[in-house]
Amino acid sequence: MGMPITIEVVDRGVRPRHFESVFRLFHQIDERFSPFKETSETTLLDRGLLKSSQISPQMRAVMQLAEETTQASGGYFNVYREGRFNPVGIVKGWAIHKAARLLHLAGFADFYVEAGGDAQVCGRSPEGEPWLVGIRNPFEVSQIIKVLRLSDRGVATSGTYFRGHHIYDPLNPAGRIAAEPVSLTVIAADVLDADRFATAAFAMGQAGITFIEGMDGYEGYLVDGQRTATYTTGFASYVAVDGR
Amino acid sequence: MKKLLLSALTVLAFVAYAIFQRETGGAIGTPTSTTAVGGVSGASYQNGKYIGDIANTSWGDVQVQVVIDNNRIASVSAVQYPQDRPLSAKINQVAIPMLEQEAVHMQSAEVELVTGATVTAEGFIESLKNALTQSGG
Repeated sequence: MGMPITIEVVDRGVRPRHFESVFRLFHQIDERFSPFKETSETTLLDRGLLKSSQISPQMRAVMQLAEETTQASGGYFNVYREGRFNPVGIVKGWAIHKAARLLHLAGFADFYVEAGGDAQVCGRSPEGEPWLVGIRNPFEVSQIIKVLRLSDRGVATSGTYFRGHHIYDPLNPAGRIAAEPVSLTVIAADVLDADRFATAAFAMGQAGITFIEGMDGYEGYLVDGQRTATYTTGFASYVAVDGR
Repeated sequence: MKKLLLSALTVLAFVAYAIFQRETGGAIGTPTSTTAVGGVSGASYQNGKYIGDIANTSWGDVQVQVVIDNNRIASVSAVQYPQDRPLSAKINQVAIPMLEQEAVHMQSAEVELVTGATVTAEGFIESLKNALTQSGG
């Protein structure tokens, strides 16, 4: 899906072949799921060129998960929009989940896998501490607006840097920016869950943070167009104090 | 609490609706009429058991049963409660508190990785198209 991938493994036994196997996994998933590739299974499905019997086990698994997410989110998560099939809002988290599992199976405990702004962070950093994860400022991409301390957690951020007509209120001559969410960060035990529910909740607008609050084991941080952040009641337990 | 209030209000609305079905022998109400519900006092109810149409509320389906005895309302009960939607089930169980807010501000601490929304090519193109459409293009 054309996004940068970063992997860091602290455990001493890690070798180049371990990184290579993870990058191979991402490459294979991209080949199958990318909507930008003419020969991907996503593109074939989108164009109605596949019989039900030709759908791969991986695609079935993703579609099943997508359906569960649609149910759990009251329809706000949907891989079918305007007659098109696009599983991007779930494949990223699913791929990272599989990559982390690959590293766990290889015997590693202290690492992270990050792709396109979502990550699974496991164990401890080289400092022997939970991983320090920054939340990017949606208004200034070189800046961080929050520092999280995470261990054995998944984190995903849904949003965009602009939301078309919602950003500017055409009825207000001063061009006041509407208080629509621009970024929603979700923390869960697994990045697969953080990703799909960040996608679902972001589609709900401001109510999305209330949706996350209502889910056990999930915390969230929502930033709106007026630079106000709303966060769930357990979120503070993940925030680094004095940057540590 | 919220569910109870919502259900109670919907139940009341459907009591009146069910009564005005006027089907004999307890037949299930059919959506035959959209006449306004009114004139409850002085009406003569026929004895029997009446079940109102299923109402779709944003919390789930609600359906009411009314029993008329001695030409009076003897009982009103709910056949279906909103229970099936995950969000409404959560609200039924847990009072969701008002969430705290803060102004966003820059942190200068060092971090090891960053989470943030990424602008995909697709998102960019979609937004560009939207902007051009608004401009009359």
